[in-house]
Amino acid sequence: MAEQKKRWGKIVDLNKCVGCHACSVACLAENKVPDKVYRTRIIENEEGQYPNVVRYTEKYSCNHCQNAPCVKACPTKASHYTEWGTVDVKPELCIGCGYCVLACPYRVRMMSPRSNEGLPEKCSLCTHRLEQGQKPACETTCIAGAIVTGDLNDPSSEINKWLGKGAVARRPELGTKPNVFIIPFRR
Amino acid sequence: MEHFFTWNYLIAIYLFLAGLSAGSAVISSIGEIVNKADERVRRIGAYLAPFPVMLGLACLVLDLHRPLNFYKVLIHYNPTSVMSWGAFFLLVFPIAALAYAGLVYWNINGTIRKVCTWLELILGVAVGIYAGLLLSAIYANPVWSNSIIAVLFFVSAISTGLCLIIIGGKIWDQTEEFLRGFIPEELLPQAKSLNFDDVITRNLLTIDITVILVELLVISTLIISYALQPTGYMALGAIITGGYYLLFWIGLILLGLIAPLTLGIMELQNRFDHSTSVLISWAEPVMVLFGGFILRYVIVYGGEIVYPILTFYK
Repeated sequence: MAEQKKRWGKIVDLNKCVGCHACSVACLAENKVPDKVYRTRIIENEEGQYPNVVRYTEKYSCNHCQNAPCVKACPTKASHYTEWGTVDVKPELCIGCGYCVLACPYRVRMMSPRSNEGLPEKCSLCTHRLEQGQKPACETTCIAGAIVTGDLNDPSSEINKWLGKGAVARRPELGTKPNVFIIPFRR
Repeated sequence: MEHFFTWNYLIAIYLFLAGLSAGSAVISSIGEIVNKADERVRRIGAYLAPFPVMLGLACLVLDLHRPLNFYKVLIHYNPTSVMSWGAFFLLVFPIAALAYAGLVYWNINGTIRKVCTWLELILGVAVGIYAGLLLSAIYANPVWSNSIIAVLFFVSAISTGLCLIIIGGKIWDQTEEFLRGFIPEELLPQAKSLNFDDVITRNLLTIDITVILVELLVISTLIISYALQPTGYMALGAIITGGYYLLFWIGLILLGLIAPLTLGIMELQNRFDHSTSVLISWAEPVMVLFGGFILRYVIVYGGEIVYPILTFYK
């Protein structure tokens, strides 16, 4: 039987996320991200009308779209799809124009300063760790177990069990077909 | 602020200078193709077209976060990227414009002149539209993702190009005298001076008034278009009712469009005495150029300031 192609994906359960920023910091340490730039960050959401309001935190990072606006916008094909279906940047091709940062409808890319590499920093889904059978830095450090990463093409994987729990893509109306999903916050 | 704004004023300057070049190239080459425009207008347009865009390209490279890699955009192309197409046009356009300027300067005619004229027109239109399309292709942004931006930038490019020709023509005669010290006599054109007099300035002013009116119309269409979009409230808040509204209303609409329009019409009605008239004929094109820059500045920064809101827009 031919080996099936992998498609890495990630699910974040917003009901479990406590907003401790451990994933942001672990990502900075693992990927040696420059100062003041984040590959993954925590945003705070407010929902509802007074007096029925809720506030919850959300781990926010690249959605690894299968139809990615940033890959379409990149003039040099430095932003590209990897063999595992994720989106990454080739530093040797990048001219640092910032067009991908502006094209991303999720606003998850950030330009690192010129004094540093000047690259559009983005989540790589830690493919360097996944290749070696390890889990991404954010998942290993998450104290609430809110993050799961795995192969979306493998029906027996943990991530596919989570998909059945009501995981949805962020802003599906954009037609970007993300590989990263969230389990929405329930009151 | 480097982390807040991805693109800064250098991009606004570059879009403005690219528009200047595109405008004067289109006016010059159309004038030659239909054979209607005054010889002097065609000449000045052809001479001035290559240089603003070159300065603009320098600004563009300075804005890159990895400027030493800039040549990669000329080797690697991505057909789905507007910027990739633009890089191609901006590589070819200054070369074609320089060639055309040379042909015009030394009065070389024949097939090569015809080919260069058409090339200048096509590339001029391409660069003029590209400047706006670069922004309107970003569909995530409520300010930029509007095809009217491309039309507006093109109309503004024609308007500012025309004013560049007026200013350029006015100072050309003095400059040519100065240049005569450096260029051998036999290389200079037959006519000693362009004689860019008041009559030609007034004719160009008449055209410019029409273009300004069209530009005002396109801006109104843009505002209505924003108001009709579901996310348009962000765009209106960023450039019309808040954010950069002072620059938009005072810098662009009042000083950049209404004032030159009024002054131009009054000038054509001979409302001024001679010394004021001379002053106005300088002030009017300068105001239009100022307005053209403010337009790019407001649109570029207006688009940038809606991004933080967009992150939380679900």
